[in-house]
Amino acid sequence: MPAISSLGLLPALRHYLKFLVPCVGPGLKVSGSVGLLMLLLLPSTVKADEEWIFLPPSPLFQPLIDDPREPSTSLIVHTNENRYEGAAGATAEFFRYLPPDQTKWAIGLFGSSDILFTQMGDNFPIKASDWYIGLFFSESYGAFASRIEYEHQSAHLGDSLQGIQVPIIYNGENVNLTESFQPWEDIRFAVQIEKWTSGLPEGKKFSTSIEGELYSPGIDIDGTFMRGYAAANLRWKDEAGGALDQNFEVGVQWKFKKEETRDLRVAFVYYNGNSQFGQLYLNHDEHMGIGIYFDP
Amino acid sequence: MMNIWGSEFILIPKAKILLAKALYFWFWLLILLPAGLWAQESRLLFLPAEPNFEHLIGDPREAQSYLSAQLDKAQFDGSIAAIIEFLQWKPGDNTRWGWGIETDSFIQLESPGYGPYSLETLDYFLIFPERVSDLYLGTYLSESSGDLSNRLEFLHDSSQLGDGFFGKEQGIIYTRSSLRFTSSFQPSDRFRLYAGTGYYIQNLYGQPSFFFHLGTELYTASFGAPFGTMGRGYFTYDLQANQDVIGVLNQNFELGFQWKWKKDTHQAIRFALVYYNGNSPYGQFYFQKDDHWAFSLYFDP
Repeated sequence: MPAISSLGLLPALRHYLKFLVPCVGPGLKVSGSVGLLMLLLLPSTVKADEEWIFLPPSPLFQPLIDDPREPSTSLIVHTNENRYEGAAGATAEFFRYLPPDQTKWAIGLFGSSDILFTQMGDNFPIKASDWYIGLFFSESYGAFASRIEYEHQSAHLGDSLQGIQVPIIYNGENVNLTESFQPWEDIRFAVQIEKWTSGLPEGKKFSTSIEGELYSPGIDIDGTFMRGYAAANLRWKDEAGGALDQNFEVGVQWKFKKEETRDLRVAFVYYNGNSQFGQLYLNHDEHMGIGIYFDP
Repeated sequence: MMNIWGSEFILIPKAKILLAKALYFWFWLLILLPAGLWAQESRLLFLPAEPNFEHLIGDPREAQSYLSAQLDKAQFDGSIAAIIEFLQWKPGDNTRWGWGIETDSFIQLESPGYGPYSLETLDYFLIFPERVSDLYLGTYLSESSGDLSNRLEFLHDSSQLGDGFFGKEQGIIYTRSSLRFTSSFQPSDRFRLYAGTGYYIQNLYGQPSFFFHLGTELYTASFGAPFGTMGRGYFTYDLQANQDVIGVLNQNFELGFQWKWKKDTHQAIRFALVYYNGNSPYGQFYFQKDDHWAFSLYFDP
């Protein structure tokens, strides 16, 4: 990329667009297709028996609470090693459509940032960080819910390892489909398949996971709602010659109202598998920890 | 299966003690606080959908999620933010109080152009190595009454050199903690003025210092959009001055469009043309001049 700051605004803009178009072309195609689809599908008038909700505060498809890479905000303190994990996650559901046939449809964007850090005195140097951003389309009907995502991931080495470890290129895009079944409010099953469409390292093409969530009966605490839960998530990846990542949580979930989706969770965590962080994906990781989670 | 309570177990460091204290605090908060506050006309909301203090949309370091493409450099910025308001209390005297945490991850990518995307096939694609990332984590207490709202924050921020620049630059240790107070005056839904000050109580890279902050938000009249939604144009100006870089003013201008589902919600999507002039907002380049135009897309919580 030549220095373009001296070109003037319009030539710089032309140069910039020439530079930008090939790199965001696939993204533009996807968003353009979605936008066109929305224009075609959105009716010019709203019928009385259907409803449109724009920018709802919580997503239609509830995140899999035991999947370490679902977008949520959390802090996990490893109890068997001097390590910590933090995550900031955000979901922006553009709109939700509720037609008269009792189905619900939604589309939006999500993003999350996960970091792995340690403690040295008053400092918390970072070992690795992963970034995710993507587009989702979800649907639910009764006990079933589905979500399809187009997701970009990139992984970065923390600067505390500058000069100690050479960063690798770990990035790419995948399409993943998640199906959830919640026959009762106390139990939920989900399965996910994920196909990588591009990215490095080569050989990273497919992963699949299953999750189970089990909740205890709730108790009322001054009008708020609290219950215990246990969850397990097993994910098989074909990277690193094949790896099985297992994540287990036992904890407490606290909500303002029972019917709300936003919650606060505190859980005891056990993880066994390869590292979730792309820069360390060849490293085995087995840890226990205490986590605090804020679900959207 | 490892033995986590055996010889591998590491003595609890300070952060774990802090976490234990936080959990202890939460326990007693849960047990004791609501009982007194539910009485009479008081109302206590747990995890409300929107924070009490409406964030400053023109401040580039507020907790807000965005994507930004600089127009005069091959640099791209992104941010993923979360504001979790634990409690919101309406005591019945027209005031409203909020308490929560905020976190934000900022990242900047800089493309040198085409590079070897695949080291085996030597296919060349445009590449976007990470230049720098900043992390913010803090807690706040806010209060609002009529046109006035106030926020007191304790904020920790750190900055890391991106791994795409390991071979070009040496990262510095940049970590700070600050106390900051912001007051906002919004006499109408078309105009907002805010000002604040803060003090870096911990600053590894320099001496503890004060900083000052002010800005304004101007909005056009709202107009109807499809499905009962609403849109309006807006302009913001944000100014920050820090004692440790005397003479430098960090200025941020935005001219854009805001789209909301309904008028009385904070949640919005915004598009804006941005002009920034000052020192870099990223800690690793804190002393470097930054002057750029950008086009940005924001998602307000």
